Amino acid sequence: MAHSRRLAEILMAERCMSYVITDPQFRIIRRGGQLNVGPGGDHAARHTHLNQLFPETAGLEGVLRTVLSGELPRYRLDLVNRDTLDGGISYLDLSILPWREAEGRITGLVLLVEDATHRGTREQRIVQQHNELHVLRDRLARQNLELSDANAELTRLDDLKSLFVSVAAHELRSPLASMLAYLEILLEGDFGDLSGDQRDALAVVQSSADRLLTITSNLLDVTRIESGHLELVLQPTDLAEVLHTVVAEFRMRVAARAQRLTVICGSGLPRVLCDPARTHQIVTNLLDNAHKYTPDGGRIEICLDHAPEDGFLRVSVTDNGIGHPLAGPTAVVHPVLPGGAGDGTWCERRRSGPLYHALAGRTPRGAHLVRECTGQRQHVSRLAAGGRRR
Amino acid sequence: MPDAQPPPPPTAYSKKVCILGDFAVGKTSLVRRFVYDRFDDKYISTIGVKVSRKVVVVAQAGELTEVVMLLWDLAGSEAFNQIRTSYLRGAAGAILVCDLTRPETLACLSVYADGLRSLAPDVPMVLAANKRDLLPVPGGAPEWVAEAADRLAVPLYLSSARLGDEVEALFRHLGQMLVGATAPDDPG
Repeated sequence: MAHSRRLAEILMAERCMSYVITDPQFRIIRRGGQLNVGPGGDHAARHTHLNQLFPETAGLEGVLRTVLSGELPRYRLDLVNRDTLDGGISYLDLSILPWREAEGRITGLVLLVEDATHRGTREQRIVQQHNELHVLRDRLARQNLELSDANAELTRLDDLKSLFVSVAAHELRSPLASMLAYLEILLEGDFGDLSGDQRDALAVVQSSADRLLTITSNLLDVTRIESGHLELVLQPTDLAEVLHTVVAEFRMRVAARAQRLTVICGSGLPRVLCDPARTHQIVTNLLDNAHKYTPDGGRIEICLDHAPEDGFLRVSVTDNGIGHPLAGPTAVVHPVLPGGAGDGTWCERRRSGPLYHALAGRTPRGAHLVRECTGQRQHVSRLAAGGRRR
Repeated sequence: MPDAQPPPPPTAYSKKVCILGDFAVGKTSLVRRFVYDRFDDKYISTIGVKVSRKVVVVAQAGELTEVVMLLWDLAGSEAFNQIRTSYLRGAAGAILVCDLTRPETLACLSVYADGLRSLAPDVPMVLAANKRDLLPVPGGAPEWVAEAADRLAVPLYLSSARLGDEVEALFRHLGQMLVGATAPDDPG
């Protein structure tokens, strides 16, 4: 008997275990082992109720009675949490079994306590990581859904905006066309002679109406570009002719501000395949910017020559006005057309306002026009103040 | 004139209450708020079980009754079979907890409820839809929670362990249900 008891003590020490034995009323009659699972020593704990030392057994009297009767062979609780004095958590495995006398009669319960802190701490870390990852994954999924919804709503609003702009531009064009027609009739004298002042005033009205028509046309272009419905008419084009046409249109405006506008075209330049009307529009925008940002009496130069890249032509606009050091220009490179080197064109253009962005490629959808006119490649470089605008 | 008699001590009931729900729904925070009136933002996953004790006084048949609630804060898990039956054995009641910001945490509650009812068919339960403070728009119970409470046939509380909203009320309600479910001559 002493031998068995000694063996049990060794096992208890080895497994870091303790035990408590109770009477049938679950009052402690004996305790021992290595773990400090409650206040006081063996003597202090004697005759106290089991649930004073193990609150986990409180409310479990029914379960304990089934163990006491032998109906339930054991009751086990793994990883019971206990707060430690240093603010941490220790873990205990509890097993409650019937306590039998030598003849086999159950006279109470024995509660075995095993320290599971090492295992519990390891398991807790794993569970913690798993749970945190799971929560993050759920949160990410929810945020993706919200982003997707927000994106759909933005697209819907953008489409509504485009529709509105398109309808508004169309509605503006009809009365403008009537105004311009009657202005022309008036200026031609079909309704009678006009005095000089009247003619000058009507000329201003006509000029403003023309500008308004251009703006509405540009707005329509923007909506077409944004909706991806812009159609280009590509044809072999003499770029020099396009440049001269644009420059001719600017002569009066440039002269009004005493600016000097020079056109430099290389000799023997080939024709390129592009949409001449759109190219005209783009060059007009470039020149308009140069005109706007060059001081009175300043210089503007528009140049057409071979690009450094083989098989491309380059259109560049240079002036001595202020630059856009922060915004920087948009540069577009046109690939060589099928059929041989020298049939391509290359140009860079300067950023200026949302309409220009749409026409010259600074917005994702607006890039359409320049890409379609010039090819599928573009890059952005910076301009110093007063630098060359290409 | 007879001397004034001190009021008789209230009858004490000791009841095991399981706190059940998916992980990170705030079970431990609810218990901590109820027992210690504290809240900690840091999330620490519970494994196994942590038992806390709190006495509530409820009215029963016109008298005050003490109910010692032994709160079994159980580890949340993805599958009910990971919670051993031994943890639930002897439970007199349960708080089912879900996270109002994660509707998916509702799904496992019927499994928990069924598991508990298979051990104790008439066990009273309360549903705590927690983290109401994180709802983008404060207000009544979202439809999916109200429907779940109806389906589970349990009272519903929209709680916030962080702010303490409805925490005391939901535990007290369960305490009342526990007393109502117990014969007066069979305390404990």
